[in-house]
Amino acid sequence: MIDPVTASLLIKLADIAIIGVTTWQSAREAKDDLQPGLLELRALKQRIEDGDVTPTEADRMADIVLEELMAPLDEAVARL
Amino acid sequence: MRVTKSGPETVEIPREVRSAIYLVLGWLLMVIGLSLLLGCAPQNTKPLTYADTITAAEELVITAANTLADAADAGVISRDSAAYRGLKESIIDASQMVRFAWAAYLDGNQDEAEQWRQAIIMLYGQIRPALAEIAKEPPQ
Repeated sequence: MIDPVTASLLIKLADIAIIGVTTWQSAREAKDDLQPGLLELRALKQRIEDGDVTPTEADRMADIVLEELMAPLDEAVARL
Repeated sequence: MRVTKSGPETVEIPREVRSAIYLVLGWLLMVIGLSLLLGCAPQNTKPLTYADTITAAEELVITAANTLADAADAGVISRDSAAYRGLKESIIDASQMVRFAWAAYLDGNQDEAEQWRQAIIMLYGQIRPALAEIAKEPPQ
């Protein structure tokens, strides 16, 4: 089990990533390619809320959340 | 009071007109007071969290990247020019800083995240004038 502070932080950042990705998708009007990322984020958030996550999994989840948080910026930089 | 060649002359305003003026002024004051009250009333807005400030810094870098890419697509700046390459390099550096800021914040290290965020803002401040110039120029 992960500690409550890490769980709370992961949930908060997963929420931010979900909002960011959702807004990004709406702006691009291209939902299909990013839908899996969004679904995974929601599933991760649910698992953290259920307390069903080991520290190793939490690290992997943090990486996924980080990638999703960076996704809109990575796409903009890829245009350069 | 009216000023004439022969000196100041007092003009008596009829009582009805004075009443009307007071009435209008009263309504105006009430409207202004209500507007101020409504404007100062607490709005149903979400308070800003630290993560929101990193998001704001990330949005600045996204805007910078899109501005430069749009300008290059429109032919305002050549992708082979030194100016373009310099700006691109700065934007890539800033995007790495955003990644480091998020990673530090995810690790629970807000102090480090804040240092990266400040660095992003500083770097953006350096490239902003050049981006603003590019954005002003008409397409070629």
